[in-house]
Amino acid sequence: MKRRDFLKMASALPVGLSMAGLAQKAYAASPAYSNVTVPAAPAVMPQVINIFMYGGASELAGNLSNIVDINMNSVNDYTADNAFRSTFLQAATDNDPNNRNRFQDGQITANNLWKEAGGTHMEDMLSAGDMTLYRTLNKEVSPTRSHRESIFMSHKGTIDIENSPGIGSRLALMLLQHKSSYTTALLSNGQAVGDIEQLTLPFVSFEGDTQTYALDPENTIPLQLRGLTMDSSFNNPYTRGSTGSSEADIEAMVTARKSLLESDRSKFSGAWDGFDKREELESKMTDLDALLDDTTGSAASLGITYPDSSFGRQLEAAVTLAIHNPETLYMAVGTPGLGGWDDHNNGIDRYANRMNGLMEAIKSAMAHINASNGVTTIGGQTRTRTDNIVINVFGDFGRLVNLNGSGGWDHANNQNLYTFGGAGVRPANEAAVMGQVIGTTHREGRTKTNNQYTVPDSDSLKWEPMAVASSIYQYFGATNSPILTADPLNLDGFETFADKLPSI
Amino acid sequence: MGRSFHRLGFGLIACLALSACSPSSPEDKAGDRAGSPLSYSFTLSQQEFDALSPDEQFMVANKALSTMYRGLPADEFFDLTQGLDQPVVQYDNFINRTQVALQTKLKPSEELALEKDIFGIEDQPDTEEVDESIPSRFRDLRNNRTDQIFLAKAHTYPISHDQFVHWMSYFLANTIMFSPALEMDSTDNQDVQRVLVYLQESLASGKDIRTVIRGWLNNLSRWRVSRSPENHALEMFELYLGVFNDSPEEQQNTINGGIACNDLFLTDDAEDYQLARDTTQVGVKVPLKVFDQYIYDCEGLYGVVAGHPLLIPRVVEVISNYFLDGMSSEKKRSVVNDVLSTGPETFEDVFLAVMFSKVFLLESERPKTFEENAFNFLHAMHWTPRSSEFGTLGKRVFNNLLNSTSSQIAVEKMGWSAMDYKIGRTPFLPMDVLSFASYHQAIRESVLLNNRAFDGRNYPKTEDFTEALEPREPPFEIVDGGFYIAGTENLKPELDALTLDEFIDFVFLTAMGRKATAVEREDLKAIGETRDHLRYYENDDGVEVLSLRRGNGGDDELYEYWTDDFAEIMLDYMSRLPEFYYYRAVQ
Repeated sequence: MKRRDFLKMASALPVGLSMAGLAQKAYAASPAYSNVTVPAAPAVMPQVINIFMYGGASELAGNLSNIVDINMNSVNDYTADNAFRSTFLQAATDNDPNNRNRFQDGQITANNLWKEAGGTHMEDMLSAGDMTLYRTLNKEVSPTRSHRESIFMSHKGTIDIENSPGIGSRLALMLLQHKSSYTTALLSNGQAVGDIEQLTLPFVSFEGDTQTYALDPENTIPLQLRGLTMDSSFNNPYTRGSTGSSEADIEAMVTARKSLLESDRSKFSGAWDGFDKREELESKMTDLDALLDDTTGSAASLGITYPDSSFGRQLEAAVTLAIHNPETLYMAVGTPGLGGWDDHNNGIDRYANRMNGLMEAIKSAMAHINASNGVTTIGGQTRTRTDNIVINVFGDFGRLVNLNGSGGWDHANNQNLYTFGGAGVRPANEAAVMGQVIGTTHREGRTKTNNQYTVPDSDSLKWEPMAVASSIYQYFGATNSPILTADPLNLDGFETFADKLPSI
Repeated sequence: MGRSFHRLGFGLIACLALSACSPSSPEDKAGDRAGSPLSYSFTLSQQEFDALSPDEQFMVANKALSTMYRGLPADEFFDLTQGLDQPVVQYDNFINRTQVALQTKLKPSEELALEKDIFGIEDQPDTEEVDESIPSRFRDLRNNRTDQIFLAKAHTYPISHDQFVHWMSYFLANTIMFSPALEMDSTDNQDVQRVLVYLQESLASGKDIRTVIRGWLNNLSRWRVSRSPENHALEMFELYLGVFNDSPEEQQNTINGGIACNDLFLTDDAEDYQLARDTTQVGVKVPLKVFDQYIYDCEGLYGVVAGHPLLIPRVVEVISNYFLDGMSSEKKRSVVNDVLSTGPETFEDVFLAVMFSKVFLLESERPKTFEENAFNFLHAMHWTPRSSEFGTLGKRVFNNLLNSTSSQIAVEKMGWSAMDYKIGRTPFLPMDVLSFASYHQAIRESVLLNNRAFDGRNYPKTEDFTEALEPREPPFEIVDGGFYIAGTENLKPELDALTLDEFIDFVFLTAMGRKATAVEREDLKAIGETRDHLRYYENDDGVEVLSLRRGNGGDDELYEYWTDDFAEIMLDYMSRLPEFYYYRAVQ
């Protein structure tokens, strides 16, 4: 059944009118993890930080290649006084991050990036070979412009968004299914993985409760491999204050009662898991908290300063955890809610600065990662390599390129993927394009109307957003990773970046 | 009918301020919206409620009230003079009384008295009469934090239409349909005030759902969330119709809707995000097709949405999802169908039907939110914010709950901020490890173990006023705590007749909706004895009697002081049980 047919069928039902309820009824889609092929574990276990730009960021920060045409056809002029000033369409004369004054310089950098919107930082990271910019992440199988569907698709890596597990859960179950393949795999401290179920903090979220760790309704994930949440200060609400002299007696009662209620574990799973994890985290968070201070190996001790922003702190925490705990394999980072990048009106007054702050923080993160070889991990070992840490940045969808009357851009489709680091775990052809910009676009849509957007050129490489998911599974050793992005509406799944890039 | 009914209110409140009882007060429109009990087959009837065991009745009653962050004390529901071993319900007709109360307006004089109770009044310095001041129930309720004020009213008003309206307004403002989305750059506290006041006035006057939503669509606060014409159209379809921007047809509806509203735009930060009109673009020259109807401007689009057949089903579904989290889609759909079959016209119709549905009251086992769990317990323990000026659960409780970043009970830490999220609170409680750890820490340390907030020891007592330098009668109702007579550590007479086992059950029923198991009772008594918090002895009939009670002098007098300490052990234990955080189904 095609998705369109399914939607029509669903909409004909009398009640339960949300897609959520309907799709939940229609099918479930747990992947067959045993069908995933993992002939060998990767040379080093990857550590992936997925940063999600909730709301759907405009592609313009990373793609001004069509801006002259866009401006010519836009209802509102990008260069008018109330927008991005007269120099917006001009080439930048330098890549000096300190010369970011929009009034004095053009905004189009050498790689057609928006200088003031993080362009200088991206140019630096491209030059250093720390970054690849994919300009053609375009939904064609299901080109929805809805936040909910788009976010869920990106977090689950499939078109089927109801009753299906998130990327983190799929990865956990893939590792579990093939745990014997990973026993001798090396972590970035040179130690073997051993039992995958004994890893410390393998799956973490810095964005609160997230669909990335939506559980698989048909496959149980051991508690140790489930996503857990932290905040950017490694705060520790897991401690228990106000305990008295009856503590041991009370705990004994609790243990006795819980043993009687074991059969109800699934009924109370959230709280039950929470209590189990609380005990584990109570001490670990104390250790992690110290990593953000001026201890050896912290960003500050390495001379690296992250921007003083909520995202800067969040990213510093995530990268610090990755560096000091090679057993953390996958992290979700982002801003909960939809406010962040949903720039219907804030294109002019907020987008560029926010994008610049994002890229500045990532540049700090890459510097932090690159300088961290040899730091002591929380397990007491020495980190031996840092080229296994991948950072991905993308969002719900791209945005229209017409500058609307409220000074922003409405929902569209094509978007960028900004991906950083991890050359040691990417397939060879993917690692080979580090430092490059991939994909070309052109504007489409009726002139002087709102509905104008970019699409990939016909001869351009292009990917679905779910390629991010299938590529992550590939980094961890799956040779047929699209299978993990397949569902009843899309039996073949989505190809990885490496699948489409030229072979080398 | 016991004296305790007066406490819970249900439309009968004490005459809190003499001025409000003046014969010259405008009287009185009470009952002009008095409704009748629901009579749907899918809602729990009084007869069906009465057929439940007394324990189940108590649990179900509190389940219903907890959704409104309220609770029913065990010493009001049961006749404790007859113990709890074979509990006798003295609170008759709960379902019908509650449903009628929720549809019955307060009298103006009652509302005025309650306002004085909440906000307090200063003594008039130019009079030489007795002190006329009324110490406020809450403090620092600022006008720019309307959500605090709405919660203050929802907690203080007796169960009534007015209380219901304030709670419904708060609830709806935390859904995707009406969230003021404080997390966004383009919104501020004015939007919180605008949405709450708009909802309260609309719901209080009985406006139907279509009218309420139609009126909201062109509100500045809705535009501050949607921000552009096209997104305004898109969000209208998603939020109020459940139509997502998925298919080409739906995307064309959105594009056309955007064109219809194209003369409107939101100004930028520098101009304080005002809704402005580009007068060169008013209306459109050609009709635009949206959902198979032709429109010419944004007003036309509003009309299409407000009149759309999917609107009421969508509203019912959004509200139901909060109550029925965790249930199968079939079960949810059946409730939505049932509610729709009643032809609901107002939000009140929907809330009443879902809240009193048998599926929710008898079957739901979803996680309780912090507000539902904590305040149900506190109300069932006769909590008053007057127990403390600055304590966590004292007069600044709602500031701590809603607007603090440092308080343990700040719902923000639990992934459950109020008024904050663009998509409103999710229809499921975040139970990730961090959110749950914050929830557990808050309810354990700041609520359950914070016994002075509810045990009565620190409550204002009559003597505070009658024996003051300028004696006067208490200007507000003096209430006892969960255990003690107000301002003392003397056990309430209501608890006198309880055996020790029954006292343990009293605490368990209040906190968790079930009695203790035999094992739990014995373990707790052992701990209590070890801690020297209790002694118990057999009375003449061979029954173990709680020695915490007052009476015989000697040691018993002493141990009475430790009732709260013994209860603290029980509450600490319960806070560590997963089941404590979930609603119970009737087995």
